[in-house]
Amino acid sequence: MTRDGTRTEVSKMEEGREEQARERARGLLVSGEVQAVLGLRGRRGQVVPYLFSRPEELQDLTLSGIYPLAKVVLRLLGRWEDGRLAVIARGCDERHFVELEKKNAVDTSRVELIGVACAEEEARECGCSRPYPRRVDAGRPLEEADFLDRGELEELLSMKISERRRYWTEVLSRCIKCYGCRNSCPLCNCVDCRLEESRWVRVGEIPPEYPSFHLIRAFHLADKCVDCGACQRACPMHIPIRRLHRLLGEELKRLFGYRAGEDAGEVSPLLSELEEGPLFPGLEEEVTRAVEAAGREVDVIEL
Amino acid sequence: MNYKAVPSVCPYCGCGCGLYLEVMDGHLVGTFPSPTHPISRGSLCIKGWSAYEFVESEARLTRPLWKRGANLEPTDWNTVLYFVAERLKAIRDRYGPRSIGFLSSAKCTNEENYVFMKFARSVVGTNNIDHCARLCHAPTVAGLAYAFGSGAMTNSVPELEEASCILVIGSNTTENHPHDRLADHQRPGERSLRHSRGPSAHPFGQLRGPLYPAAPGYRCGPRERDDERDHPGGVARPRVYPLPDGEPRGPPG
Repeated sequence: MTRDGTRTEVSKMEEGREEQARERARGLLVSGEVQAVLGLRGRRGQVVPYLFSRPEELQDLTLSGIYPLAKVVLRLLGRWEDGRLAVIARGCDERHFVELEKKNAVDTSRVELIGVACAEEEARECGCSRPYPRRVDAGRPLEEADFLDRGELEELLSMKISERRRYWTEVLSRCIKCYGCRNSCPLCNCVDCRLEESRWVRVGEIPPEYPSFHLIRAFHLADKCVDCGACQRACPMHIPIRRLHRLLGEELKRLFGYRAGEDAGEVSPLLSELEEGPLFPGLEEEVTRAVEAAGREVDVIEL
Repeated sequence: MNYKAVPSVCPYCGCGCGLYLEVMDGHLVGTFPSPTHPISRGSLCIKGWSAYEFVESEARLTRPLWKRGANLEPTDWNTVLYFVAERLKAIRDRYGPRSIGFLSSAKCTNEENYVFMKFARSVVGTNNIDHCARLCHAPTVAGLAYAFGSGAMTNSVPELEEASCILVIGSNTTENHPHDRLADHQRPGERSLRHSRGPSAHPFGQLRGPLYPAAPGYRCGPRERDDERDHPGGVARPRVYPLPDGEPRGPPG
């Protein structure tokens, strides 16, 4: 779904995709492997998340729309004593579940993913670098597709520090503290969210203090963000917040070869024990070089 | 276990953003914005995101409270309704129907206000009924009708994006009506400005000097070079000038 709500026009070839998804969902429901299927339901012009519990309801299942369903799953599993559910999962949804599994936030034995490959129009719309899940039940995965605009990231990084600071000050100053970015992110599920602690974020101040509000979130998500874009879609002030998360994600990839959402067994490089040695091998030299290049002196504190 | 998202509208400000109420097993557990809503287009502020919280909050009153002395004692509806009816009847019988005034609210539904009005006029027998719009919206209806020819919002929300200048008076628009369509007016050099003595001059530029809302004959001037000097930091703000004669203008034609 585009920013103004119009549905992305998907080519004719993708129309069979919905039926494939329905078939898989029906099979899982009828066999009793799952008690319900979470997906999007299209009715009376509205496309919304819905828990299908009867096979007949599946005729309203639609793939034309996007929503971070992992967010709903967290809530469902919390209130549902036992029972398994199937979830319509695009590439980004599957990456959400990988990260949630790393945090032990989801009992993945209760969740069955129905893999949906995104159409080219959808992948382009989202600027996605991997528009398909591991297992694809519906659609054809665009294996070579990578629509992530690295050009814009490079453009940002090529700006002088003072220009970059001016850019981020301007865009982040639009923030009305709606918490939409945080609320729509499936990886943002801390019981005690730092953004609601007055020690870090002053109550009643709009815009929130630059740059702490957005940087707190960006750093907390640095090793978890899977670039689904839900935060960007939720921002009423058109803040290019996804760019910030992408920049950090690219840094982690560059420094540690780590990408969130790929492998549930992969441990984030930001989690390690200091006894094993320096937290980020090579980082000290890197930082020194960068700071000296900016014309400042470096003070290294040996711990 | 069941879950569905019910389309609705945010109950708070006049933006009327479309949202979905998340219902799980009959309980309201969340809200999220509706991307297909033609006006809000997926925007939602903190109030809308939290709109579900009060519905099942434990802090809600579940019984009427009767004030006796300094205490508020829980009681039941029959007792209080009977008491109120008896007292209203007694006051009306002794002092006449016009001794009772009725004050309603624009936050109530049309149906609630209709019943209230019916009660005041037919049951109690008085015309003394009014509501908060007397203070707030009624004068603006008169002012707008005089200035623009119509007492209601004189443009559609999408037209905000086409405005070349937006003058905001006496409103903290950022917090009161956070419309995403105004977000594009906040880049440096953009043509929004705001006059208010309120605390947040952000995100719009601040006008200097007093602005008299009774003189709607102000016009917006183009951005000038010396704005840079007056407003360091590179955020340009257009000047605003009173029209030559300073008198308010009536509607055209």
